[in-house]
Amino acid sequence: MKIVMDRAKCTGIGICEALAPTIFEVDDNGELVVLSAEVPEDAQNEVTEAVEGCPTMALRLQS
Amino acid sequence: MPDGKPRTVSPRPMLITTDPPRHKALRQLISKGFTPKHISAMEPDVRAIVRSVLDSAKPGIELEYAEGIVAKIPVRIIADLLGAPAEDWEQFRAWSDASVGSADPDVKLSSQEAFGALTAYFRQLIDLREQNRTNDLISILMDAEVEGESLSHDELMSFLHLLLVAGNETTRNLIALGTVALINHPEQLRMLVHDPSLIPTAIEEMLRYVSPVTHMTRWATEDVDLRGKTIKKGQAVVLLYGAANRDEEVFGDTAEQFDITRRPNPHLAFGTGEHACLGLSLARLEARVFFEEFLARFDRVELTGEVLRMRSTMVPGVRTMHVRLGSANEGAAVR
Ligand code: HEM
Ligand code: SF4
Repeated sequence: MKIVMDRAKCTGIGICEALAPTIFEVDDNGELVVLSAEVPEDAQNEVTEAVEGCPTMALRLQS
Repeated sequence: MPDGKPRTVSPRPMLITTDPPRHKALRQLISKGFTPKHISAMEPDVRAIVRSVLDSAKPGIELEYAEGIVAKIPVRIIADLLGAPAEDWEQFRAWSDASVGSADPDVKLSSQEAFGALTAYFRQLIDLREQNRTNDLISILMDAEVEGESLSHDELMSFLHLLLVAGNETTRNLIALGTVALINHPEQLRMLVHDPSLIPTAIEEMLRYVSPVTHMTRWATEDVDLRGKTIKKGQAVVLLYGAANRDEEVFGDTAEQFDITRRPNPHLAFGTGEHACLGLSLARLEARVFFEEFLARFDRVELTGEVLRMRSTMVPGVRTMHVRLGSANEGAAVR
């Protein structure tokens, strides 16, 4: 699975980072950085939570 | 009932009422200060504030919890973030109370008066920073530009008002009513005392069960069909967060129950979409640190009187609640 992110929708407060800190990081400019676009096997649950938890629907999973 | 026409209610904070695309540009000015990284860095300060407030709470005697303990915490944190000096924090709290609890006869200032007093105070803080910028939110906003223009005086003011009001009453309401929920569910309180690692999920459940902010009103920008009804473009929609948070289609048969182990817990206490609460990581941090410190000191808490609520339609927090705290450490002295 791959993470697809829509920067136009993202408001950058990092709910995704709080749920999956190894995958998402909001940098010092307030821009979201996806640290690993390919979802690691052991992080599937937290990534799914992060995708569902994003309030602006900026994140999507693609198989 | 609203008639569906947007109306100007003054005083109204503006980030929360601005549409995209300008909304996003405004929000970006301060969102950097609210990322998980920035907020985690505040943990030691938050803990120090929580500890200093809890130091005044003694076990075994009756004490007032809402004003006397809980209310002191969020206002200090937010005032500190904005750059207000510590000696002004209590004054800050009175103004913030008055600007949302105006319908409450016990709050002496009208919301207009409180708004005026805050505006004058912010003016002073801004004047102090005209010559010397510091690294607080006021200084950041003074230097900020949206589409090449700096914020107008009114925009800057409404930002500061919003941050103070949004960050204070709400968090206080969560902690006070979250405590009431624990008192009313003694088995859950015991579970939490025994296993503090449940505190984060307990806080999510408090957010769901309490829904500290009752509603926001928004206007539909297009026709929307929802459960067999059409919301027409231009109509006002009152979003009742508490109702969404008890939706049995989402939370099932246990929607009405308080369950500190609930997972997943997709509540909407912070709203959702473009305007979703900017301060949610800070609110979660404050609540987590509060309950960590509180439950480490007190393993029993009981109400000794009625819980009196603020008469406010939007953030109907707790005005007063008297409790007696018990701690294992002072043994049989309490009970
Ligand atoms: C338990 C505590 C809190 C609750 C329940 C809460 C709830 C909310 C809700 C429901 C909204 C409106 C969302 C929408 O329109 O969809 C909101 C917006 C907002 N909140 Fe909070 N909030 C809390 C704490 C905080 C804190 C600590 C701050 C920060 C200082 C804060 C700052 C804001 C701001 C700036 C907005 C406007 C965001 C925008 O329009 O883009 N809140 N909050
Ligand atoms: S949760 Fe969504 S909006 Fe927030 S930073 Fe992550 S992707 Fe962006």
